[in-house]
Amino acid sequence: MNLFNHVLLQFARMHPRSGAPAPDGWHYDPQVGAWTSLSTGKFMVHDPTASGYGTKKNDLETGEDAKGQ
Amino acid sequence: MTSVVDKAVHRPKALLLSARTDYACDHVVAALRQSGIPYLRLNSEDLENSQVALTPSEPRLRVCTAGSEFLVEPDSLTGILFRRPVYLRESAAAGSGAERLARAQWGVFVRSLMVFEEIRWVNHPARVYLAEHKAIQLLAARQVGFRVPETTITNSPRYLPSGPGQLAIKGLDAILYAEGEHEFFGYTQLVERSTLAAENLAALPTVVQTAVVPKLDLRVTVVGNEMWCAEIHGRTGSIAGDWRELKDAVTYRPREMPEELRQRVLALMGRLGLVYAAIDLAEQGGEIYFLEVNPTGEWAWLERQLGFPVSQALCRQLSGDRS
Repeated sequence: MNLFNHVLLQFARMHPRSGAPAPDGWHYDPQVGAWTSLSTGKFMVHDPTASGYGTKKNDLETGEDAKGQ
Repeated sequence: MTSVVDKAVHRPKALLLSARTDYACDHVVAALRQSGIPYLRLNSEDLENSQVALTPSEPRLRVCTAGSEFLVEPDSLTGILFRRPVYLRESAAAGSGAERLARAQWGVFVRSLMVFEEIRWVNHPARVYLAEHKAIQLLAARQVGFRVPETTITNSPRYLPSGPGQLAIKGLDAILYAEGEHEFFGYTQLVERSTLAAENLAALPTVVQTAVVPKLDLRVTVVGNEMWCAEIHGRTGSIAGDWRELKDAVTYRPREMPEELRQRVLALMGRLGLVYAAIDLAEQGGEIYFLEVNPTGEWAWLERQLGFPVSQALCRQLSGDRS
């Protein structure tokens, strides 16, 4: 049979294969181990203007156990 | 710390095994810094640009990264946050064969840190591996007294769960695969029994459950003995299928948990050997049904939207302060 006719795959949602997006305007500081502002050093996840990150709405669906893959 | 190698050797109490775009881990970093707890975050993307050496028999891990040197050993280490997959899904893997080989080898390196066997893992990779299996989850949930929807894992309509009503179908593992420039993700679907009976399921084992509809979705986030519950509401009330498909349109409300439910959740955590989990439940007619447990599930959006203090709780687990 054609695997793609399987009911599980018929309903699968398509996304661009771009991986997780790098947050615009923030940089990953390897010495801190977090995404921060270049100008203020503030944590991205503490900035309400960067509200898309750390939210379920912006979570790319890869299965919750596939992170870091 | 500076851009040249710092002369001091840092001895972290908390080791965070993650990825750069795991933004929830940033919340944990912030909490650790606020508490003055020394830590090291090792991301999968950064390993090949770091110098690492694991001495299994001690055990001891030395890391030189971002201009600093770290010595990870049981005398100072109190907790390990493990936010990594326990196996690679080739169906969505990117890169050449050599690149996939490198990722697999680094994955084994990270899991080899299980030599720190006396350390608090959140969660231990072996426990994550076990708990990722829906069949194991459902058995454990039933054993601790949860109601679970009648479930069959099958590749044939011959063996569908009995009884009336719709059926819920989902993959035995994440339905995640890549084709060309696109990636595909499959959500739980509700189907009519007659529709599924006419399908050819032979190619894939499929989880088929009696559908819990109508229902109120509940998301329980657990860290050690602490837990927080959120109700998930759609625009027009309850959500028939998979709430993740509607995530731009759902709202969350905090919900008190009765003591009996809390104890049942703790019993499930104990049976699966988990310290952290995100558990999906469904309420119907005053009864609570277990749907699934995510041992590395997301939580940061609930901390931001509902104020659940998950990062602080994780920080306490990692630092040895579990009072």
